[in-house]
Amino acid sequence: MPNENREFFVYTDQPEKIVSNANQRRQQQEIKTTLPLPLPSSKKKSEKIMSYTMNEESMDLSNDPEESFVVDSDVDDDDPEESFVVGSDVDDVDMFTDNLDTKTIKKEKNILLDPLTISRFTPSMSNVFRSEESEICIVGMKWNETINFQGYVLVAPIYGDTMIMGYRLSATNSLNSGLNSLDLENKDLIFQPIFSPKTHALVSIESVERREDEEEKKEENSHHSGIKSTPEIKKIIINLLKKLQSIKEEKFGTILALRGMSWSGIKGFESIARFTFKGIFSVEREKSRNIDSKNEKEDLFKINGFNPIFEVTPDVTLFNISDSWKSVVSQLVTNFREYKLPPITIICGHRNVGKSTFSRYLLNNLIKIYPKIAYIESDIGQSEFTPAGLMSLNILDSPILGPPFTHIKQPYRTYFLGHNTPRDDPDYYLDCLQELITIYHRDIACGPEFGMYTSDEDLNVPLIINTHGWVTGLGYDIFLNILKLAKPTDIIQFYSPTQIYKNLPKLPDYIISSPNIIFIESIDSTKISTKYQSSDHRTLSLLSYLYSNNINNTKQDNTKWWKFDIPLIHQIPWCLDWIKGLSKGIFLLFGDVPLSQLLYALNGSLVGLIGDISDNPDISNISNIPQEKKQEHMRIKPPNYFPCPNFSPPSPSESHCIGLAIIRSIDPINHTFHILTPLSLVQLQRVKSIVKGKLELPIWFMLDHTSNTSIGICGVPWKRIPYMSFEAGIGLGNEAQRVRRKG
Amino acid sequence: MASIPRVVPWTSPQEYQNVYQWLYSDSPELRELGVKRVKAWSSRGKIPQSIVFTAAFVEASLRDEFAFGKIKISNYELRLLYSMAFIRFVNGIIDPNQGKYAKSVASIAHKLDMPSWFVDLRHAGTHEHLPSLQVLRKGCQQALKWLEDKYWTAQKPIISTQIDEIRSLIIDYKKYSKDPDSNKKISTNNVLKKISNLITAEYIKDLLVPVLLENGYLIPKGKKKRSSRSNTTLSMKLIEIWFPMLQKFGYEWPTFYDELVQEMLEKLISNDEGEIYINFSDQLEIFQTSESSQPKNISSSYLFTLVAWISHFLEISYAKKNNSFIKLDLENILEFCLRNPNLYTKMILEFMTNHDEDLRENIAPFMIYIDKIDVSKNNQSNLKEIPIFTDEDMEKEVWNLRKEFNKTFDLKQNSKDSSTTENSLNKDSNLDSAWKLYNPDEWKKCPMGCLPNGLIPCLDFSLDLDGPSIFIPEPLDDDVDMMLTGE
Repeated sequence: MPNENREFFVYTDQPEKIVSNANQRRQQQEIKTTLPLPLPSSKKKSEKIMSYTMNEESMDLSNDPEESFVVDSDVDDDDPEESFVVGSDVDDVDMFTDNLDTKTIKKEKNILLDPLTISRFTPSMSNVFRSEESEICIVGMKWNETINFQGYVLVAPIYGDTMIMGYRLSATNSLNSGLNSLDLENKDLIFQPIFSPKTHALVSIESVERREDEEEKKEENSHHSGIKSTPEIKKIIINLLKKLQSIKEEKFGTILALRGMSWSGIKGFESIARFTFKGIFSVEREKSRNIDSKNEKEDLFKINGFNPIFEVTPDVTLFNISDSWKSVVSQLVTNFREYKLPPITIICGHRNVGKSTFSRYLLNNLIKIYPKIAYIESDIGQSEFTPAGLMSLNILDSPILGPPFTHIKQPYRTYFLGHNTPRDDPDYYLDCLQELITIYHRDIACGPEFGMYTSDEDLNVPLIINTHGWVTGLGYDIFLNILKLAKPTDIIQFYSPTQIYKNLPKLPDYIISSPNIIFIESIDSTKISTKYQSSDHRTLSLLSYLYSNNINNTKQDNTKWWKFDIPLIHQIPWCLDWIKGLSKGIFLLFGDVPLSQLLYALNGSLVGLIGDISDNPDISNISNIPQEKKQEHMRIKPPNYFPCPNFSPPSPSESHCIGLAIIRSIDPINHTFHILTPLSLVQLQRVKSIVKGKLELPIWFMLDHTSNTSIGICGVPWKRIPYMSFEAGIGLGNEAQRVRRKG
Repeated sequence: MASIPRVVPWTSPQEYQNVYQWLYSDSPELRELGVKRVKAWSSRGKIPQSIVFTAAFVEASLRDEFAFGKIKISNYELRLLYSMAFIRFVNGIIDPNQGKYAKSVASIAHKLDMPSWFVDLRHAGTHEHLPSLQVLRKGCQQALKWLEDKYWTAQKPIISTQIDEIRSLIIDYKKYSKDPDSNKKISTNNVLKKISNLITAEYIKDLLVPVLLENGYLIPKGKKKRSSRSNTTLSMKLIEIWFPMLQKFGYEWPTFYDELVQEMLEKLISNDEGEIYINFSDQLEIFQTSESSQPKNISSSYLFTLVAWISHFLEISYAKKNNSFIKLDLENILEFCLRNPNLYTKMILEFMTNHDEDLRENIAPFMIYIDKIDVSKNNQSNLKEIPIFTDEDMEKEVWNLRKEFNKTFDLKQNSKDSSTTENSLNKDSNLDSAWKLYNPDEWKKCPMGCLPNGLIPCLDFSLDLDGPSIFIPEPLDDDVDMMLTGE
């Protein structure tokens, strides 16, 4: 292999020696930075692929020359613009290239081997006990042992403490009572779902020493929502525990119960976009050298979807928290104690530095101290709790143990921006953000909503604001405006000693005078797998949202959380009568579509459903619709139509986004939209208007992944299916727009 | 499915062609409509750039043409409009053709056969004096012409010329394989190689299959050589001649058999649309050798021969199961036949059930149903008419059955407990709400953008809604309206 010397981590014969050790890791990092970057080559590759892939969105305003070297590859955080820097939207690549060879080649060149992913744990008959009839295990771990895994699993603490993505999972049993006197009968056993797909850094479950500090008392009474185990499951666990207790020689620091969760339907993510998402939860086995030993180790757990990593696996990295991050969090917590008012923390930095990862880590830490935490997502290209294109305020009361698409939720307040970036309407973006901050101050921080009149420190609801990584040109301007609006108490600013171009310029004096500014080390983006692009993350979030079985309710045991078994195009849609239902009409945020052509833009597209904030579902407005005389001789009654910027978009102080929907088809004669959405009827009845932005519906939402489609979809031959074509298209300028960047 | 389709903003190739015609129409009204439709397309997302450039030039020239109409526009404004359209056009064409190392715009333009003065105009518009209106007008005209040559007309390049070429190659093939003296193998193989070099998988349906299904190829011209209702086997001669070729194509393109069979199936029901009459007398020789569009009425012997071919493929595919060199999408064939029951598709269903016990059991009720209606229709009319059932008939029946079933089911449920959950709730709220769930009994899965009948309705609103046109002093006349609705 000619490129061998470009791999950062070359598989060695002694993986045990590499196994994590802070010093060694640092050394590796140093070596890494001196190696020539392989990025230019991958850039070239992407360009080749791009000959088909274009996107109007790729018009990037930022003109930082260095950006062209950033392979957009963020595992967990980045900005929409950035994904186009090199520009290969993997979605598009799949769509536009008939053979996938180019992609395969690209993949091989970027193989990433990270020895840190290997678990520090050796499963055996004396520390893993599983029940034969159900997917339940209990695992005894010693302090500092880790189980790193790919997949998904439910975890409940039985004894001792565990750290997962910064969250301390503690058993309610007192430490003093010893192993043999564990009493499970009278206590709730709460399982937390943990998701670890390889689209992001893998999750590590680490056994840690119990912290005997003052926080502990609070932990005792803060029960974070999770999945309560049924008596039957508890019985199985108690029986397994007896087996474990019979083994005397082992001294366990932590005992955990693990449980499979295939019933949630999560595996469906893999079947939908075969080329892109296949294998995100399951480990590819064929390449493994020590097939036998590996299988033995895994077989001890035998939980579907739970794949612990026991040897170096290509293309995965570990969610590894550096010491500097830990100290930042403890400094923050110290700061927080001194504030009278609820703390507001802003996390900022260039794209691909770890903003979202850190936000999640911080949240998981704080959730042990504060019962509720507010979170504003202002990175609308890759939101933590919603699909892209939305800005939201979320109130959290439980840890987030997985990447965004595994915890898509209905936020406290949402605004529809209809775009992956604030670029095209920065003012509206900032209006919405300002409104969210106002709501936080009014309802959450000191308002009645959560009973927070008291000045009791405990009842403060801190606010975390994650910002977009577009920090050049107009992006930086918008960023400074966010700082002005939010008036943070603390600013977490990422910096990198090696990739200096990624550091923010020094913030203006008027900003740094009041808040504490804490610098934090950037994640080394060269270490991140380039396999999944930000467009893939967006697709996953949208899949998670639209296929969600019940977006509003908390997730229940043994029910389908996602219904991937019924493709969207099979699902029975809602019929919305636009005369009766859309009293406030249809808004178009961008573009210049005349009303006569409106339905051509709306059919088969992704839209936001908007309702009033003072929402009493009313039908009163129906009679108010202005009926022009002209309409009498028109066969089809059009909806009210408000193209922006001639009309201003829905005001954030008067209306909010109820959710997203697909207008899957239109029946103009009956003035009816057929709408697919995970929302409930009660929510839908509050809808007053529909807003279309620039969000595109990826091809995966229009295909049928459950049946053979060699000839067509749902009995309609390919030729007659709208909005897609197998013909490559020819002629000059056949591609959609993309951006050429100067190297 | 071999690959993933790409997303396009138009609903059909027809809509695409319409927009092309509109943008290049002599009528300003149609050109304006073209510009409007392109704006709707742009709003959807991915759209080929050349379409956007064309619309930009057309929009600018409309402004220019009617600059002295209702709304005055200054020459300077026009020059800005044209210049920007030009700059974006030239850059948009050049940029994707930039390789790794920066090349001069002029050299790329030369390679793309773009007049060098286009590049000059772009340069002047960007860095120098704004070009004059005279030059820009000329440039706009020529750019539109250039786009038409390089993009729009490039879209349908092959059909007519290549289809002739393919036809003559297949005739050669037929000649060689019939000739007992020649070195059959070598000469036929040569021909086949030529054909496979000529087309790629995505053109099978448009170029190759139509020729194969013309009279005198897979379906012989002479009625005696064809299959009939009583004898639905293929003549050995026919198989000997054509099967090696089909095998070769199937080997070359994995989707070949599926696409061939699909087109054959569509033919089987093509008489069903419009006048439902099958010509048993077979006196019309309907197929001309030219590729002119086929008449509606297709002779029954032609269709029986198609049935025989499909059965032949099915037989091979059933005989060897997974190892068969013919891999057919059986489910698709089944679904198609069930959705479009007629004499021929019924024969195929029968053939399939004879080979598949499970299937026979599963679709037995449908078969009985199809038979029943067949008989009842025949009794009604003494004509030798084959009854045709549309989707609607079938659905009506299914709907009736389901209604009956629901009635009994409801009765049962009600006797159990009167307070059933969501269904009743939904029904109540459905009465006056703007939101209703689509009637589950009537809902049929269908592609995104289509109604449950698989079709896309007319999505136009009246052009009057857009307010007075920017340039037209008098309202739209009737001619235009007619042209528009003819879409």
